[in-house]
Amino acid sequence: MRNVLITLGVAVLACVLAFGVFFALNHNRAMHAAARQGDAMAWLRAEFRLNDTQFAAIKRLHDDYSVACGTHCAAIVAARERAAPPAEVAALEKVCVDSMTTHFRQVAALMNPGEGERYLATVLPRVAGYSHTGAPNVRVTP
Amino acid sequence: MKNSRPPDSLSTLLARWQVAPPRDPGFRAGVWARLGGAAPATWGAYARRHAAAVGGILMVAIAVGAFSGREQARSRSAKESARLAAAYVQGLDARSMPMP
Repeated sequence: MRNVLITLGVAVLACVLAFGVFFALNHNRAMHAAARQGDAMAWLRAEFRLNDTQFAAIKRLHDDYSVACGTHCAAIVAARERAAPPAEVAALEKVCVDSMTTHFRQVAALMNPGEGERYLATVLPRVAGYSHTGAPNVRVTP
Repeated sequence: MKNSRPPDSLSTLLARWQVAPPRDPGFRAGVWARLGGAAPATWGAYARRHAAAVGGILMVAIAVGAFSGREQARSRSAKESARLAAAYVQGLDARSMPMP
């Protein structure tokens, strides 16, 4: 009986050790660090295996795009504030979506081919799937 | 038929009988071996005796642990990645900017 219990104990120990080893081997530390810090750029770098050159070029693109994004944002916010016709707001949002899509394609072009396709498959559905009834627009509705 | 020895000759013979066995260093171990499970077996000996069963249990335990560890790590990374992807796109989406 004692030996059966020892065998079970050894089996549990082996199970825990195997869990720890395989968790460590498959755990993406860079991703975890990015998640802990809420750093989307660190996520981009880790998820799409960017080298330093690619990351620097993409960071520059993002910095440039943030200017355009700010302009679109200001136009959309101004239209919402003056309760512009829905068609006008929709047109401004379409400009935003087109600009964002172009930006994402430029970013993808800087990545390795397979990673670029995966990047687009990750981000484009999120742009297309944007919900006007979602939290960010909740203040538009009177 | 008449017995030629007197009746007490057996007693005399037994009294003179002496046994001188050769020294056997493995005598004690041989006795324990013949007694089998009487002596407490170590876990190593037990595992060797049930090698197939113990080996099978260990293999299953390692396989379960390895699979669980891998899936847990991948699931965690996938959740973190999805959350960060949403934050990344939202950060570049002018439509999601809250009104001041």
